[in-house]
Amino acid sequence: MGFLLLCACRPEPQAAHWEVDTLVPLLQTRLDIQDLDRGDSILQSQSDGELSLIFSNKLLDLKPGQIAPPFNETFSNTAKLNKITLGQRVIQDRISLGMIAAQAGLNGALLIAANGTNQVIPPLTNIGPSNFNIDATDYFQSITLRDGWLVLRLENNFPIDLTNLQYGIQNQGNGNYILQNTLSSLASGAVHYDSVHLVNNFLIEGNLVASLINMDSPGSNGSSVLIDTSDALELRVSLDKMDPVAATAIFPAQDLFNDTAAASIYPPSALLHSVHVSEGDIFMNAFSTIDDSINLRYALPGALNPSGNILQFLEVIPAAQPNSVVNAYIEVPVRDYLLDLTGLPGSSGVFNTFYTIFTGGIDSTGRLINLSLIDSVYVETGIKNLRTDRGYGFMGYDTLQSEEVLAIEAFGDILGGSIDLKEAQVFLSIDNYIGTPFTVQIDQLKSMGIDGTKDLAWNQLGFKFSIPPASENQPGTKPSPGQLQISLNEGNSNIQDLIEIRPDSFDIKAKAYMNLGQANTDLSQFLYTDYGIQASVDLTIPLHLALSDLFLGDTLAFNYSDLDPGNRLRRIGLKLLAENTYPFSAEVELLMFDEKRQCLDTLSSADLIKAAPVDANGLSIGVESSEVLYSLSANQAEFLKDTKYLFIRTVLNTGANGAVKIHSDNYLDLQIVGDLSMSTR
Amino acid sequence: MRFYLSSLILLLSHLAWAQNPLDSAKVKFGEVPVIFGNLARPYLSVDYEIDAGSRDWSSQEMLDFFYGGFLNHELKSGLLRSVDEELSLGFQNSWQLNFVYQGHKKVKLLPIPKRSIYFYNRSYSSLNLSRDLVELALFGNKLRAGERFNDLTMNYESWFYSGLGFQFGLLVDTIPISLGLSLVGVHSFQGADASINELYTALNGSSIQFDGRYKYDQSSGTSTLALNGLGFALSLATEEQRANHRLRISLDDLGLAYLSDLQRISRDSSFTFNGFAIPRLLSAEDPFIEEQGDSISGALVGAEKAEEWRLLPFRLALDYGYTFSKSGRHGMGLRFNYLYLQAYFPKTSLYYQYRVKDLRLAGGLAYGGFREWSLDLNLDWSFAKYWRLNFNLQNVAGLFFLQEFQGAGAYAAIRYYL
Repeated sequence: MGFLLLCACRPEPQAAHWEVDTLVPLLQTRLDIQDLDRGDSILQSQSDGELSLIFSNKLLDLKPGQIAPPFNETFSNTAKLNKITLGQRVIQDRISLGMIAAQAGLNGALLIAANGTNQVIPPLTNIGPSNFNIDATDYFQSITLRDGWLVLRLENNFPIDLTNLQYGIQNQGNGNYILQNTLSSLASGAVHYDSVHLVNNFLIEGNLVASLINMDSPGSNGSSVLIDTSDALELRVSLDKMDPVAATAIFPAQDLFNDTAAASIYPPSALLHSVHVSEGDIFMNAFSTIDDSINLRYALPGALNPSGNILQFLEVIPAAQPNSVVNAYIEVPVRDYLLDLTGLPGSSGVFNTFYTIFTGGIDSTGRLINLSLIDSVYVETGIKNLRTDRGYGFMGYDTLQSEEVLAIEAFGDILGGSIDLKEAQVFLSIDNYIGTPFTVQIDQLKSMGIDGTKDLAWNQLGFKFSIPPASENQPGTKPSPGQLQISLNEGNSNIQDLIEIRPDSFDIKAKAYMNLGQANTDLSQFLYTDYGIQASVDLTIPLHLALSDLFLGDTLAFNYSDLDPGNRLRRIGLKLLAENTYPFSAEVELLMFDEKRQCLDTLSSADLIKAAPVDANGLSIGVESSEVLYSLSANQAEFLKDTKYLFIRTVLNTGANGAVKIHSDNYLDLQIVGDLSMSTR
Repeated sequence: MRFYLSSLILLLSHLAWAQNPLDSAKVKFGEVPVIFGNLARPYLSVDYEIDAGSRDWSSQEMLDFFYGGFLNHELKSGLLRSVDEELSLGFQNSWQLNFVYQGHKKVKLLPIPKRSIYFYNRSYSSLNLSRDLVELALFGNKLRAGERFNDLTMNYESWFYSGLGFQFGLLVDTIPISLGLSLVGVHSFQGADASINELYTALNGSSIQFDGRYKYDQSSGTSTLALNGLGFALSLATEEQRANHRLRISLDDLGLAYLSDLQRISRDSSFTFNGFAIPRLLSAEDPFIEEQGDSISGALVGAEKAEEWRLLPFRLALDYGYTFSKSGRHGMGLRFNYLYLQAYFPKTSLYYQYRVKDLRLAGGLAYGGFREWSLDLNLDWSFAKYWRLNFNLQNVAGLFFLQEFQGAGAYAAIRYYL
């Protein structure tokens, strides 16, 4: 506590405040007209040092915009079971003598006992019935056929003939006979075919039963024959031309889709043999209920990227679970492809057309797949917003009409007075970046300014000027333009009058024709959407002029607190020190405006920046020093605090120097000195 | 209120000429020790001192400058007129608490406490400014545009620190010695030193030329209790009395402080300023005025961190006294004081003293210190058995004749024997 008390007792005097008068150099600069760099103007120095001011204003920038509207196309493909091939299913089996003997009682036992010996086989009757299982589940588990054929082949490889042969093929599960028949005789070594037309959703199971209902034989007719129990009745069951309603089977590899489609773009009146695709997408949207994976390929064979690869994608739709749908959506961006537009291979005289190929199918996986009529694969493929940025071929016919009012900034800062220009010239430059010939016609040019308007008088108004086509360099880079330059000067027109009114804008009416009078057989033309027709007006003014109260103005934002953050300034005086080699004088005034842009006061001086003396040619000689004083009254100092905008008004006069020339080494050195009275607090 | 009290004290007080405010825990010069039955007793005391003065400005001018409102042209001219070659301003303000918990039994050591602890807080300010700089500061450069200023100098120092010390007394041969050692904490420090060889403003203001060097140090911490440095200080004192002669010598606060966190501006340069440059007005190039401002500002006053050991303001005092009689009722003396501050001129005092019972009165004429001539008064009074009061006024005339005399000072100390 004592410590705090001690510390608190340190006296802290606060010094009085007072005002000091200071003289401080604030800014120094050089005004060199050669530094003019306003984006719209440049200065050119002639060999004798005389300067010309060149203003370049863009008149026109016509871009083709697009070669054709953005292209969209969707293709749909559906694959159902009726498109799916089951192929021919063949089941082979055999019923051996041993198998029959085993089911033939005593006689059968004697036969088996005599295996390998030569015996006389006595006549046999009423052998059977016997059933023999046929396992076809390696090929299918079940097939329900709307239509199809079952063909049975029987080959008797027994050493004896068979008679009264009653046989059948039946499903093991439901016991239904698929085929049942009686054959009166089948000689040893003979072959017999039988078939049945299966309709009405006939079900065939993978587990079949071959039934030998009855069989007789005359035996060996007293001859001794070799008894071999492996001798068999060979069976071959073929299912063919099947139109299944449903199947659980191993399907063969096969294409479900193979579709080639042509598509066209629609460039008005153009015949394009190729375009460059700058952006876009190709896509595929697939839905499948098939219990197997589907391989899809979508391709635009006519589209090649810089590496020479065609535009395509491959996609596999996975197998669907029972009673479910698999959806796959793939979108592939397309960038930087050159697309051939001459249609399908082998076609001729085709333009603006390309084609697509869509294929899809299943591989034989060896897996049993369950399909029914309601199963399907639905695939949408297509192209989205395919945009082109350059095209090749005949570009068609077009007429561009333009009426533009173009702002001219060259004289924007000149607010009054007059200029008497000598030898001003206007060049109208038109650059054609399109690989087609253009024809340009100027119908009207009018300059408009504060002092009125002036129409161009020129005998070439309405004349059709030809602009040669551009030539393509490296594809994708800016082409070299075909050019047209039109010169307007005081010898061929009244252009000087148009300039001397200090225009703030030009009104120009013009037309441009593409392929005017050209046949559509020239397929060497091209067009880049980024580069079109550009026109500019170049105004060349030799700085040989007489100025009479030429009044320039510029407005600056102003914030007093930036200048005097501590609000210490009490009185302000400014001194402009000038070293001038320009042959014109300058009066400079500062107008103070508040935030409502109301003029508060004007800071002016009776002094001016004096003009440098000139020789007989109007060129300045020597340096003229000037001191221009600006004193702010107390009121003006207060106004300055409310000032938000400073308008600098400069009045230039060549005065008695008459028409003068501005030389490249002319300059004006300026220094602003503050004569300030400041408070110390 | 603090300003008001300070100014009141400034007006009414005077530095004690016979009293070193820093030694009250150790040796009181110019006084006869109070002896209680030949034994020194423990005591508590509080000392306070304030002094402000100038060798150039009068009390009124200092009041105008430090506590006035607006200085008009007349006042500024008066202030400048009062400065001959150099303006010198000094100020000090000090508190000290002493606890003497053990006295000496030996008579030789009676004036010196055997053991004590003390705590103090001091602030010093000193400014020396050559006359031309005073003129530039008061009037600006416009008045003297076109003239060259040469050899301008400025020295400024401001200390604010506290200390806690331990003191003990001992006898070396027959000489009593008081030795005190204290730990010092510096709260704030400012120092400026400039020497300008040439300063010139062109008559039309087109340029300002500068050639010289300047250095400015400021401790970083700005709060009152900030600790911007540590140090130590030594105090020594002795007294010898033979018959009617008495000699006392003391050295106080001799020490060093390590200022660990200084912001330093130090330049030795020569330049010409012609205004911010916009190289080419019509070009689209950014004139970078703001950057130039920053660059110039950085070049002129850009600070860097620094640290240094610095000698504390210390005091040296020699006091010779002679009593005309054995009773010591009348006496006179010659005293020399030195304070290690630029604005302090070594001070010499000739005084006369009169003592009756427990009251001693003294008065003298002095030259030096923060001012030139001064008339100083001192009162030393022991009362109510255990109390003792010491009160000094320095430059008494400065209290009454503000226009003619140069500031004043006061010292007050009260002691209570336990």
